[in-house]
Amino acid sequence: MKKISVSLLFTALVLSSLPATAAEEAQPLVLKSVESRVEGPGLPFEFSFDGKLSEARTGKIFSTGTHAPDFTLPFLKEEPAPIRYPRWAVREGWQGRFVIAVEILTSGEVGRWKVMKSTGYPLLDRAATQAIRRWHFHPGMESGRSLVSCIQIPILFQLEEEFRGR
Amino acid sequence: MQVRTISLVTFVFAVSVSSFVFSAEEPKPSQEEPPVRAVVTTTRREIPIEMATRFVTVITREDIEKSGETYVINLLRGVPGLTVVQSGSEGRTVSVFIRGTNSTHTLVLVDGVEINSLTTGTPNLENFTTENIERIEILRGPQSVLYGSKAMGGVIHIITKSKGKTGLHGAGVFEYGTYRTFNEGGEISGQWKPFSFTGTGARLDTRGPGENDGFENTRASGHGKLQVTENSNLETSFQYYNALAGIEDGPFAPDPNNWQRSREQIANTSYEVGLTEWWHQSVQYSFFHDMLLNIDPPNPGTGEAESRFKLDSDRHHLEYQSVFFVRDFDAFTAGYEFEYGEANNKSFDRLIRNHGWFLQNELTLWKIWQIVAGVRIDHHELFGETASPLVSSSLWIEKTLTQIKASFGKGFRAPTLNELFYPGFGNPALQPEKNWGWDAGFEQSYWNKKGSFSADYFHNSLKNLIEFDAKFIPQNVSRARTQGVELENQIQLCKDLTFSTSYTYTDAVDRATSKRLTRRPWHQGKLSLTYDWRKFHLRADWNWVGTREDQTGISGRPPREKNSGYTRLDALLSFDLNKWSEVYFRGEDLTNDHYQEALGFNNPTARFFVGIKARY
Repeated sequence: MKKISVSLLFTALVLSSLPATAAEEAQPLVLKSVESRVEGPGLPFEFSFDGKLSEARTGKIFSTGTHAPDFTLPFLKEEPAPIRYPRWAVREGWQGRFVIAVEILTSGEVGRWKVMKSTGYPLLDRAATQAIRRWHFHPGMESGRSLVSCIQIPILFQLEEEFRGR
Repeated sequence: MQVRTISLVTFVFAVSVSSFVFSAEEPKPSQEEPPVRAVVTTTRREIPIEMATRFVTVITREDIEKSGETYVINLLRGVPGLTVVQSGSEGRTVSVFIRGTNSTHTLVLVDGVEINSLTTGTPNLENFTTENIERIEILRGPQSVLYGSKAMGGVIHIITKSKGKTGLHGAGVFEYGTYRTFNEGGEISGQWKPFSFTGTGARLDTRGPGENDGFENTRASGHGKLQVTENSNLETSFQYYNALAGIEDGPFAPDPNNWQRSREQIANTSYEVGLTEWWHQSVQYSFFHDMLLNIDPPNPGTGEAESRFKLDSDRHHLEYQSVFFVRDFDAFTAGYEFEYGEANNKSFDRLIRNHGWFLQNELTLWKIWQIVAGVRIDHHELFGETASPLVSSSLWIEKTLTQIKASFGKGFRAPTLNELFYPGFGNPALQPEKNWGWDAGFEQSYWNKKGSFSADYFHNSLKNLIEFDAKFIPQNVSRARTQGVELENQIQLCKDLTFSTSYTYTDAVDRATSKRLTRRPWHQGKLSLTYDWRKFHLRADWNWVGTREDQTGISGRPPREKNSGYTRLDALLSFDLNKWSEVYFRGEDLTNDHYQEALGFNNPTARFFVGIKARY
């Protein structure tokens, strides 16, 4: 089967309320990326934690890494809107890497966003962007106070050949 | 306000580290487009082969390369349900019977364009070679529901190469073999977004085993694709064949100088657009020209007159199709086809028009159970409406890796222009030939999906079959029944060794006379082996065809004769010289059986070829 899998790689980059100058000097807070997979358009959303596949559940933290000790990472508040592999793209065999940086507001909504890396196909970019904009997060917290944070979400659109079934 | 400022900074920061972040962690999609085991013939839209609810065999480009075969018909040998009969050596007439039905019940398409002759009803498959083919799909069972006339036994769909790799690429082949056979060909392909194309040209010359067994075949083809907008494509393709073959007067009647030229042109343009996620449309126009010229000069030493026959036929074809998707569980297809066919020679100039409307719904329940139902209404200028329904279903059992499939459908064949109008023996009152057929079976994966096995039973009931009466006028008089069993197994024993086998049992009976239909063997099968070792690649295809009955119609011979079975072994051994070139040795009919696929026409014996291939 032409398996349709959208692999999502969450890489969260978070800066707490450090002053701008300090941020430039500080070691980048690169958080461990967590691979996630969406099997087939609109099917249950799964991601792996250190290689182990598990289901995306509300409230589950999908990012780990080094950061200020009193900082809590943003996490998905509810089941994310699925990213659908556009039918035309499947038909044409389009694949690609996509990275979006999203601003997570204190309300947990996605604020501003910016495509950091395009797949080269506007159709795929739109499919990912439209879904991610509707995701809801628990905001990043510092000292019990929610603040605006920014995370990058890489998405991999890949078509694979598979013998049968999933 | 302060928060805003910080987040802006983080954006900037993210840009600076982004490349580091995903170069370390992110899996990359492969550069090449994925190998897609797709099939288009079953539903008129491309679906993964595992989604097909019908029994389909797909011969991929990889299979074609590995087999090394020059002719399409040699790839079709051993496909379950198919019987290939060539009346003699290369270039001679070929008949392909699917599931025991007539050769006129096999619809052959090239990129969706019908290539069956308007006048004889059968395609000139003997001229078709493999160099420009991406894949061949063989669907068994009635399929008039989507393709109308002639799809009674099944459909053979040849899909030509269209996708090039990025940049400009070329390939060439030169082959020399027994009977002074020369085969040379070249290919050029390229892709510069948004345009891609493939063009091929090839020429084959052989003197053949006998006095008048020579064959020359010149081919050219092209296929271009332009991505017009983000969600629409314009595709155009053409095929050209010009073949000259020495032919015989009939069974056991060789002729020193009887020859036939056939020239075919196929041009095809289609535009496809996916306006929304749930609505895809396509429109296609195609043109098929077929010229047949037969010249039989007086034989030396006889006073007979020269016989000359020429026939031109054209077919214009226009189709429109819409596919509507409802989420992932339903796809609804509606389409219209118009066909305008014309044939002429000195004494004969006729045309015929046909309109066809088709609807199809593909429903998938709980992701494992598929039900495909459709109906097509054809309006033929002469005999009016014909309805061709079809229902098929498949059930996937995840636990045992089994897929159960079944189908029931009707097919028809409109009388050919020859049968309707040919001066002296045409009958304009002819009705279409009709059949209904069903099949049921399963496909089973085993041994970690390294092996797959498929088995099915089929049944066809044919009526209104056209046969000549005592006054040599065609009439809808005959009835027939065909049934049988198709088995197929493929197993990958290790990474480099693959075995595949197939077997078909066919029981095809004329219901008026209770005699077997001629040239359909009871038993036939195939054993193939593919083995790669370092730079060597070996492929062997061993076909065996059992006894069948034949009629020669020659006075002094029995009215029906048994034609004994035969085996045929084709093998290829190739060696990679470097990344860009390979040499190969190839043998056909290595078992050297002196056999006649059609009684009275000698098939050639063992032949050997040596060749070199290069590509960049």
